[in-house]
Amino acid sequence: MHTVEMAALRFDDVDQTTDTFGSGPVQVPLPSWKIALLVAAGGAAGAMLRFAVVLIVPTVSTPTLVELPWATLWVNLLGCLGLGTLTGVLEARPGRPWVQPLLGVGLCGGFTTMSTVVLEGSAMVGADFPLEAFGYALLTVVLCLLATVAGLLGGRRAALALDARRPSEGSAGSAGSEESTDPDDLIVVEDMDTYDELEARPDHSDHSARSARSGRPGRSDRSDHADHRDHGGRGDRDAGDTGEEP
Amino acid sequence: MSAGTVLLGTLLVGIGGGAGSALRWWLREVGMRLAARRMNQGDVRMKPWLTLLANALACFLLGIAVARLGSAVSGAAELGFLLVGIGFCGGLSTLSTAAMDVVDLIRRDSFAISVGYFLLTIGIGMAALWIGLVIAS
Repeated sequence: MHTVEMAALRFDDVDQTTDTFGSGPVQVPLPSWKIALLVAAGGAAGAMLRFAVVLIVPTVSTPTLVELPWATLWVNLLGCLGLGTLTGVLEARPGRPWVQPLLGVGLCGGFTTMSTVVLEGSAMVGADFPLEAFGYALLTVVLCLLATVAGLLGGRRAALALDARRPSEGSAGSAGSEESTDPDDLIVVEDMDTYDELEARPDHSDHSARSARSGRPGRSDRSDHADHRDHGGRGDRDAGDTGEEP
Repeated sequence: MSAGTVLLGTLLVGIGGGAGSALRWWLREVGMRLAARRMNQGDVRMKPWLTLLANALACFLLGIAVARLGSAVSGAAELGFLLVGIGFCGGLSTLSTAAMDVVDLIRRDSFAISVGYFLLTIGIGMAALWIGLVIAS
């Protein structure tokens, strides 16, 4: 039952810009160099974490005794679980635009590795343990798929449950799941008391209706584009680059 | 490894991993832009194969790195292997994105294609690794 919805949500980076077009600040896509820097930062952190895990969990592999490379397996499992969870959360409630490049593509992508798996598998084959190599590859594939699916479903469910538990902040929460106690978001909710009942809906795709009723377009939903902290100084700082119409 | 070597190695791994991840992202961006120009919604269909390309490239480079630097146990060659092999190739290749692509394929296409894609990734990776090894040695 989710599949159509999920399929539609997969194009969120394309749809969000058009979706929010008539309802306030367009979600400004980050410039490419910023995304590249975010990905590089996340990838560097992920690779260093992976290296740390490999240092902590050393693998003994001599020609006579082949042990499964547990460190690589754990790294890949955790990374797949993380990316699945992140994707699930973001599908349920789209986050700020830096989240996916930094944490998804960068951190999880750089944390997990395919080349090391292939190298270890090839080393096993080279050491005349083809069955072990096959088992290792199969184990990695199956466990990582399971971890991804589990993360996807779990993240989606957790995000939806968080939405349901805090209905009045549902829409503000869609901008940043962990930061709905942010004073910025709270001001947003107070501002928009005319359509609290709309905020209570779990449906996030209803921007046009909201903006039509608000007259002050889209202060709440998807105010992702900048890390504005204060309400008052925001307009003159951000009006230029977001193209927001007061 | 001494503590200083570990610190330096971690730093090198970080640099390599950042560069590799950025290259993986860039490959995907360029490929998806090209595919979007060619065909309708081709960018989405293209996504898994760009991940596969990044993985194959990483395995190829890792083969070269192993042949050139892999046997070293100390010194500059070991640090070089950390930079290129563990950092760059590890950051360029990814299993989580590949698994995510498989899940996307399952949602969109068939189960058989998805499992085949995963096996193909590993197979092509092994082939690329061997090609790199043979070329470099």
